[in-house]
Amino acid sequence: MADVSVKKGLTKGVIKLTVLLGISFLFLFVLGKLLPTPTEDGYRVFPLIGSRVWVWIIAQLHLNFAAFVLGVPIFAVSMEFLSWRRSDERLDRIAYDFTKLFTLAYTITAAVGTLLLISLPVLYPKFMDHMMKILGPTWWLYIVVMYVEVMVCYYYYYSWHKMKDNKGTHVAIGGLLNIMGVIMLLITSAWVGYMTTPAGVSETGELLSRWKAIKTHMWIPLSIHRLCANVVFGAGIAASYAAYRFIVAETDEDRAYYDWMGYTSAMISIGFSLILPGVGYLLGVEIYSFNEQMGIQLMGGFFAWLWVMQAILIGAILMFVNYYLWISLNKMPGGERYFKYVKYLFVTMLLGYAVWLTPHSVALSLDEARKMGTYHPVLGNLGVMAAKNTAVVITYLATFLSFAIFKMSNKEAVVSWAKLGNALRGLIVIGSTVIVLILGVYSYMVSSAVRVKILSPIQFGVFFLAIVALFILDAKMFKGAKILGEPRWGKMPERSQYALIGITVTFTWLMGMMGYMRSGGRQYWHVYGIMQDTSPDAFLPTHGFASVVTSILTVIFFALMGLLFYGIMKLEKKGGQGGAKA
Amino acid sequence: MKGGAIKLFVLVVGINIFFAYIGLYFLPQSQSLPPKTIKIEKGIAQDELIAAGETILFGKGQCMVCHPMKPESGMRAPAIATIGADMVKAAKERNIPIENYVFEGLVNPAEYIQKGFENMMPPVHKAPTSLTEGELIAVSAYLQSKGANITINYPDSVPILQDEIKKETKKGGNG
Amino acid sequence: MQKIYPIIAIIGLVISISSVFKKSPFFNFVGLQILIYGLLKSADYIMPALPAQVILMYMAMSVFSFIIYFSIQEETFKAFLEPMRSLFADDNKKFLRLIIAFIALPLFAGYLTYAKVKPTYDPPVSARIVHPEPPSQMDFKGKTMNVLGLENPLRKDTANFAKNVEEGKKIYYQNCFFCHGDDLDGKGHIADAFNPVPLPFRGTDTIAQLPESFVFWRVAKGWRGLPAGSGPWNSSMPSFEDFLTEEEVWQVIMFIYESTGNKPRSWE
Repeated sequence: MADVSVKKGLTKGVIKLTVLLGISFLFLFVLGKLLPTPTEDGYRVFPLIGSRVWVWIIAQLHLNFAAFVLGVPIFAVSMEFLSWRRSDERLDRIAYDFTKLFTLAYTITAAVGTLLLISLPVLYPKFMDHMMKILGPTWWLYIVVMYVEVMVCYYYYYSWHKMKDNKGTHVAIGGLLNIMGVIMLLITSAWVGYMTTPAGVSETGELLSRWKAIKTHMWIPLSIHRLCANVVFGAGIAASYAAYRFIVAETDEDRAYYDWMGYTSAMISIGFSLILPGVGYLLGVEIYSFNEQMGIQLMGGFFAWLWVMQAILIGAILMFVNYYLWISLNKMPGGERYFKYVKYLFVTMLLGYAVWLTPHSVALSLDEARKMGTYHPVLGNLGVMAAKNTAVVITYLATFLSFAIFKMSNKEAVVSWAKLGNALRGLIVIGSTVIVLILGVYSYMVSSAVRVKILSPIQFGVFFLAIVALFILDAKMFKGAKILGEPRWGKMPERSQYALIGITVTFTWLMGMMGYMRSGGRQYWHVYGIMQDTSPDAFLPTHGFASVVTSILTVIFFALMGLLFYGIMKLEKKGGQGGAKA
Repeated sequence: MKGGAIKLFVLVVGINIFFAYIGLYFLPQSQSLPPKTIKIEKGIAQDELIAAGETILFGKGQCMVCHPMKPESGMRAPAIATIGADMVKAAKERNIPIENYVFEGLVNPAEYIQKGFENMMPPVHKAPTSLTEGELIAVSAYLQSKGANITINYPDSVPILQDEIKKETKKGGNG
Repeated sequence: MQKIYPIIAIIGLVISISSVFKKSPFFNFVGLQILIYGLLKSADYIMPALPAQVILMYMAMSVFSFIIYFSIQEETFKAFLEPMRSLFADDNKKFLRLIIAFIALPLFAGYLTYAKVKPTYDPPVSARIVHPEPPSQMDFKGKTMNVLGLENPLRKDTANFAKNVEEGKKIYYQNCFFCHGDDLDGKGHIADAFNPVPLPFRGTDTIAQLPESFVFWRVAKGWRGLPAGSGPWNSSMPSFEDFLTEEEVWQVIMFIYESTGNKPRSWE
């Protein structure tokens, strides 16, 4: 398929997009004529599952795919840049593989987007009229940017081998692709931002200032949050692609390559996920400053238990990551020397996880309530933010240590101060843990304002300082170190790959749940405080219902992803001689 | 390796079923319904008005999001349990009629902030809370019932309420 | 019944330790899970018992985490799976296989079903405000009193302090001790007949958290004074204004604070 000429590729892309857009407008026109007129307050009902569930699933699927095609280019292009500077063939291959993934995913993204584009105006005509009235021009801009984006993307992909000797320009095109991606993200975030934290309109929904309606409280923080999460998510999907290829691989060479690809993607994913709590905090602050009520509702009201769910999921992700790193020690020559530390890391992770998922308010039977009163003295103390922040920082630190151990396990320091260096490392690890613990205990004694604004940032600061210090120390200590042997890529038990897939599935599920919460924060409003939802679906469903919908759409998403992976393999086989393996 | 893909599919489906199971059987199950409109008509009995006020306080008004029932350390907003008495005291200090003070607290809360609290309450007659005149009066009557004599009733107190709303509108309401 | 859990924990520990020597990770795993379950269940020796829901959560996490732990190294994982593999494949385990398939599993399924459909008489769980808000004013035998800021007049009379406490003691034993107990710990003779049980006065979370005015209101008005949120039907406290004078109520309050070593909270 690398033989397809650039021109042909571009034409194909533009035609695909135009056909899909054409289909949607045709459908909108025909359905608008055929279907009965909407109800008085402006709704049509989707058969069987109802409008809300239908739009919910389609929108979340579209969002998942969009997150993927916007997230992957960020590190694909970075990888290509690195391969260009270091002239590293393997990096070039992985960058190309990433590009292959997102380019082919565009078609599915656009197809699901088309479904959404048809569904929304048909099912929610009055609401969409309002959105067009307020933010109409951004929609036309969006279509233009989408065309440019697709063209740049296809050009970038199909010209990969043609421009082998002109890498600089090719990387620049990749950069342009990412700029386009960010613009698309900004536009779509503006829509959601307006729905959740509207501004620039009068109380009756008349437009006052279009720019204000775009630049809402949520706009920028939501965009940054999505940008980071897209990278985490995209890299996660790339890792599960690698895991899939590893499992179905037939040669050792393939296995070695996909093992390495899975490892690289997983580390990109986890590295970026370290920023997410901070960015999420910013988003939360903006929601609070828009409307205190909505903030509390999201953080502690109806959704309180979903945060416990989130804790379970994030704990599981971190466990999977550590597991993957610990298994990876098997393939490192000299890795067996470090298994003895895994015990301690494991116990730390276990205790951290236990604290992290202890709920603050426990559902009690009468018998239990009779014995202990309404408030458990020990669990009550573990359930509050002071304990949770501490636990999370310490588990993150343990995860970083697992990574550091993996990195150094095949090396032996030769510098003269190696002993001192080891002592120093121990000191940093234990010291930062103790400081974080002390801060954690101290934060029980101060008011919540001091805890949130001063102590928690200090805890995270100590964590980042510690990992930076460890990073520098290791870099210095293992400079020119004796290498006990190259990692035996591909010598991984299959279950490690299941851990990678587990990470991605859990993350996708989490994304679905958080997306539901973000959307549910509006409660019975289409546009919070401006346009009320008067449809029969205006209520928030039970957590169980939301979980089932999230599970269903996650399975659909992975089924589509599986199709995509399968398609890529088919294509590679067809063009196997054509140099797709570069 | 043959069958690898099937194993993976089983894994993905399995994890999702597990999460759905947690959501269904582990988390408390309740729905959050949009508020119902409560009818407040002329000649409504005082205790019915107060009961309606209580329902609004916990439901449509979303007051309990910030206000605790009983005083507790670090509370965001004044406690409801003693608010009637507290308002009488504050109204005396500022030398304004109690009815005006109660309504001002609802529709123009930024005007006077009790010591120790921050200005964070939205005017509740505006969107998104959008309480109607009748509902505002019901809430006011309920608040008075917490430790003070109830002087507010439905049709008679409407002019005072409208006065306070006008004052808020005049201020520009750009908050 | 609770005494059994530490024993379970010890059994788990023994299984775990002995399987370390026998190099059998699977039984080590089983032993550890039993140990953790036993420990969580016997937590009520040092603190109020953990709620069943939290124990379930911790156990799920521990099973998940320890399976991960035992599958890190290839040899350990093989040894971990060995007992299960041999159970299904070895010829000499045929009998055991039959027992598990036809007796143990059906019994277990039966037990689960039984536990699920067994009728219970627990009322539905409801949230209850334990320390409700007192009204700002109350009516004590026809006399209007401000509860907010109400102070114990007998505290000023320091000369007769010991005498007042002594009087309070008499009143306590004539009126309160049947429910609230000889040791003021809420375990009186008939305490178990009530649900919820009478409050203890010892400890730092009952009267130590309350001003004397609140206690006065609670003693004087009893269950009838409770607001709806606290479920007046959920309290057996009589209205002692029918039996005691104002002075007697203050005396008994002084006694319960004095003999438990608690200090009343003051209005700032």
